[in-house]
Amino acid sequence: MHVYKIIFLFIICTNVYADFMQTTHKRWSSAFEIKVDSHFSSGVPIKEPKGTYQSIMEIKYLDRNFQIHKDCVLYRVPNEKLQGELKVVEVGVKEVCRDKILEPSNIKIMKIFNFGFKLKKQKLDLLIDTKTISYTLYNLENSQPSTLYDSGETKTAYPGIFISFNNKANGVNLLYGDICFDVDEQCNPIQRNICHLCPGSVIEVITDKCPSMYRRYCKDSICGDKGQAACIRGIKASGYTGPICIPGSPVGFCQKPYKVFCENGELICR
Amino acid sequence: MINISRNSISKFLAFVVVILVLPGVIYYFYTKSDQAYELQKLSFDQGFSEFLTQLNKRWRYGDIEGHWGTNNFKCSDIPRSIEGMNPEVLKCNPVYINCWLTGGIPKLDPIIKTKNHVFHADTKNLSIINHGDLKIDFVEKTTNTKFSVRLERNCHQAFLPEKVYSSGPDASSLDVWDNYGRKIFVDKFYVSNFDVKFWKTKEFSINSNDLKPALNLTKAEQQEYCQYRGKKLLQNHIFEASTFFPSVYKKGYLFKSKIPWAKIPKVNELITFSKKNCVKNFTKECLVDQKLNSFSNLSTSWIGIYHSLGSELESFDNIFHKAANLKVSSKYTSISSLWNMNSKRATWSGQSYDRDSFNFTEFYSGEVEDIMFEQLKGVAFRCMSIK
Repeated sequence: MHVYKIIFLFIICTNVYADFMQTTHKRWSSAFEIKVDSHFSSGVPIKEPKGTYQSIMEIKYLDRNFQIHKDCVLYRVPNEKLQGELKVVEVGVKEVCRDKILEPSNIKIMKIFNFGFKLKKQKLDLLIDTKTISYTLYNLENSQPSTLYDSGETKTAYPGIFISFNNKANGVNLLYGDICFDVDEQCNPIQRNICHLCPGSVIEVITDKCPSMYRRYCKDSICGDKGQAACIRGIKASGYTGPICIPGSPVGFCQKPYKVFCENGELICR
Repeated sequence: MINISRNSISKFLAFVVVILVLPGVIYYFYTKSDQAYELQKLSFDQGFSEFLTQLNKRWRYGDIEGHWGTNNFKCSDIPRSIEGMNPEVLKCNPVYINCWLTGGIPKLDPIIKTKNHVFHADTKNLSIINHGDLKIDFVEKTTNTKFSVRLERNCHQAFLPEKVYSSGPDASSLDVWDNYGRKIFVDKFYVSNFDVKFWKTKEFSINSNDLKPALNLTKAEQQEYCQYRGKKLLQNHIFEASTFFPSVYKKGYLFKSKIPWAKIPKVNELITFSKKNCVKNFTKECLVDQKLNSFSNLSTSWIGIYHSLGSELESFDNIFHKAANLKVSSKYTSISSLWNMNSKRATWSGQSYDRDSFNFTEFYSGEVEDIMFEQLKGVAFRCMSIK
């Protein structure tokens, strides 16, 4: 009887890992954005809070038509009664992973005792007990283009090239009005630059967050017109050091006869 | 006795079933595991990196071997010889890639081979997707891994360094601005007939007229084309920043050069025609000897964009002064024309090419000078992008 059990367990384990690897590799090797929940850090095993499901990270990836999908990576931290469980739930691109922790999933690995991950540049490692599953993230932008010799390709692992191993074809595109790049008060990116996925062009908007980096929307309009974003004069050119988002802010300007106003933390022309 | 016997038989049967079925089950799960392993292995494999490097090189550098124009070039969709042919055309060019992958260049193998892998493109399904980028489906034969590649058409752009600039001809202009924290890229060349035809028809071919600048679009169409490419119509102040000889902004003053290639013109440089100056400034006098196409390396600016003075009339959006939206310096103006300097701007309504759509009054000085309007073929344009 023990022989049967061992054979059965072997098959189940092989199957689970193989399924997980096969499905996730096709998806995540095509990832262009990974957002890790701020409670968890790369290289640190996840031990707390015990017995609860946690949203570890969300992964956006491209399908074969180079449209967008989103997976939530969820983990139940083991305790004395419950075993650890890693599951992947595909959600709508604008849905929040934390709201999906109880969703069922076919892509999962159960009976986990230790789980962690490493995310470095364009490589993601999932550390599951003694196993490591690695993904090369070909479509992740690794740096901002900034040199004089740059020719403007998106800085993926192979600049200007995007890859999809994923057979799906029913993803979505970014839409006009979507934010495709954003920064916080410390000028650190809170939305990685995905403006290359906009349907058309991009407009930069001065916000009250960071004086030297600008929020970007997928939008074809030109700055300075009525109701549009104020054009950027910049901090150095204006020599201005006061609060940015104020009426008449010298950091921005409008086409005549419009004037600069601050609305919802953004400089707008009215 | 009967019970024991039945139990034994059922155990024996179960054992036989397991023995018979087990190899199949193990094989199934092993091959499944292998597929995932192969994909993982392929993802990391040196061969896959080499494949991408080879593909990237062919896409970005085009006809680096110089086959175009020789007997080694047998692409039915690209003429062997064409007016104004310049290998730049074949960089980031879907027609060239299609030609290569369908075996149109016998000396270049359309199958990409690396140490452990062989990659075949599905040439029947080459397609143009968002921003005019090229999508190719590949299959790696040894692992039967299928995947798609999207190639960005961004080979001909120049980066505008982060500095303080100002708009207009006035050295102490109030129209000062900076691009710190912004990554602005400017098209090096005019948008060509090929670009526009490809936008409208997605036709994988180049013909004899295709390398010339696209001159017959309305301004709305020019803007629409740039948006389709994920860009914007070039804005006047960005063009000025790209073409004024670079200078440092100090205490409200930024020196403005009259020409793109030097701080101060040489004596008579803007009065007397010299044939050798046609590469710096293609004016009407140059037409006697040369013709013009989109990919001519003429009038290079400090950031590496072309046609910064002379060549064709060029259309801009202007966010400082809407009406100053037309560069007039061109092959329709003479070397001594008032238009033939940096930052001289006229007005084009952008709606048509009628005489009434143009106002050849210089926006900043109010001077008036007409051009050879009856010969005018249209207005060129280019795009800019924010990364």
